[in-house]
Amino acid sequence: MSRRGVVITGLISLVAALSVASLMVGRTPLPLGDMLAHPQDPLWAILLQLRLPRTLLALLIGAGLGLSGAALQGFTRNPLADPGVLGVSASAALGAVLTLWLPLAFPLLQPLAAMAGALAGVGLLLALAGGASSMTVFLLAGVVLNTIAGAGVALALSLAPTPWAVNGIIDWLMGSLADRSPQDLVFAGPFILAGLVLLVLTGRALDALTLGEAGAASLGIDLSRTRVLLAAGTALAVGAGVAVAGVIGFAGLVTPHLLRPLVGARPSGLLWPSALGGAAVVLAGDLAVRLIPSAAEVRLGVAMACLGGPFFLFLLLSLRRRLG
Amino acid sequence: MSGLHAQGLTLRRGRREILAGLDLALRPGEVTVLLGPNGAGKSTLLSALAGLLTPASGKVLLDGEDLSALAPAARARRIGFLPQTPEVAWPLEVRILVGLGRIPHIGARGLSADDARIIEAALAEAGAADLADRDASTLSGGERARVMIARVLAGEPDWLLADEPLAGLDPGCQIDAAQTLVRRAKAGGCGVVLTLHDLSLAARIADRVLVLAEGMLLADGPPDSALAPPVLDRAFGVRTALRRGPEGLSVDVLGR
Repeated sequence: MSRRGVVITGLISLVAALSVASLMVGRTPLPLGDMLAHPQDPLWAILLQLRLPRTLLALLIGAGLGLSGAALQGFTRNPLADPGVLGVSASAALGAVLTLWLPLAFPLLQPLAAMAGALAGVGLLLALAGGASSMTVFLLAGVVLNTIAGAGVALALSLAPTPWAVNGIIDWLMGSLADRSPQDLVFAGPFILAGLVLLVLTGRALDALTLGEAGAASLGIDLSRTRVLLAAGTALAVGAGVAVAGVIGFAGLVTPHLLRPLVGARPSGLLWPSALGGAAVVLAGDLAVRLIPSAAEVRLGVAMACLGGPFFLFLLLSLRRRLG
Repeated sequence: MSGLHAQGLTLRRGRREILAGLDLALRPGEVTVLLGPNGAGKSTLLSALAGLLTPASGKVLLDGEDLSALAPAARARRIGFLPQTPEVAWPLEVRILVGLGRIPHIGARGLSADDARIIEAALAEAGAADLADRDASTLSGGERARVMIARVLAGEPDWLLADEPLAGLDPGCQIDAAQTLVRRAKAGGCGVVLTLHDLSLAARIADRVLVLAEGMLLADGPPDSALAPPVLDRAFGVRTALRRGPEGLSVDVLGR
């Protein structure tokens, strides 16, 4: 088996093990042996109504973050790109937050608004960075996007119509998977899966982009099609995730970076492993916040930011050493 | 009508008109060198001939077919293009990097045994076989030039357009790289079009020289006529002497 095959097998096993752990670990212990003997046991409700959606959401959202991180890095040829750094997650959160002011409410409103926010964010990003798409311009466009979306969310927070709305906004800002319902899974899951499919279709173009935009175009790659796939895929995968779980940063940044030395740097070869790796990172993070002995559960988005910040620093230092 | 033709080609970069109404007929099996001062539009013309730039008016024809009507992959199978200062964004193994040249041929499928053979042959042809297992991001300038030429050769194009492929190379590397390209034209029947700044190198390897300046072709012909001192004086504002020695033509730049 190739090295990449070994890594993918390992990642699948890791995700499977973390999923089982995520189903079993929590405030209420689940004695699976007893439960199997008593199909009427109320503990089944905890497993199926709470732990299962939480686990599957962690898996899907993580896969979406990992894959969109890998695709954005491939497209921008920038190892610091990720939906959080580039402001796509913040735009999705702004989209979701703005629904609190809308005089209408229907079940899919928030996922749709968050995906629209994410799409506007990616669209603005690609428009700002334009054909130039230098590393610096992209990161600066991300700074602009993060600033605008952050200001919007902060404004929404200070003008929040009700205390309930304040809580809702904080939920989106700080990302958490606690107490998600099967309905959240039904709302977000299909969109995230569709986003994953679109992102995987960019693989060949991302490989060609290793040679720069002129190089890729000369190999017959349709770059505007690639842009559309990337924007739509990221908007679906990240937007739907943010709608139900809020902003969870850094999984998209960290995962491709950790996997590049293991599976090689070819962008298309990095896509599926990054989806698996992202799932593992978010599952592990969500397990960790449940295991940390604290009065209230630490929010997943906060925990990821605490881990991601130092990692970002480390990345920047190693990059600086390599470039300078 | 075989060959690569420009008909009434007008090119703009932003609002600036770079070339107006250019007619040109390039023949396969020839090495054509495009010369001109900085900013004359050599790269722009080369991009347009490769089908990467939509002309403001006029068209580029490949064997009589309008390039802009050709599907991008079909165009890419026939015209290989090497951009100026080629980028290598990721630390890829050289063999994988050269394999990117097969993208127009393989579509969505993976590399076949045939593709692998073509990649090895391209590496050998460009004198880069010994680099195949190296990390492409750690190559020296000369090594990188060989690998990039292998990448474009791996696409087995009928036309090979390269933008300053020899810039920044030491004399030995320049000769090696130039010979690889000339061999593709002579033995492989490929039409090779290069932009260069080195006048003597152009004199030695070109079958045909185009001198581009002031938005038009100042000269178009074999090196001994296109590199004549009056042409180069007008194009570059330099005094030159064209010498014919036992090793062929060379151009001495004497001064302003």
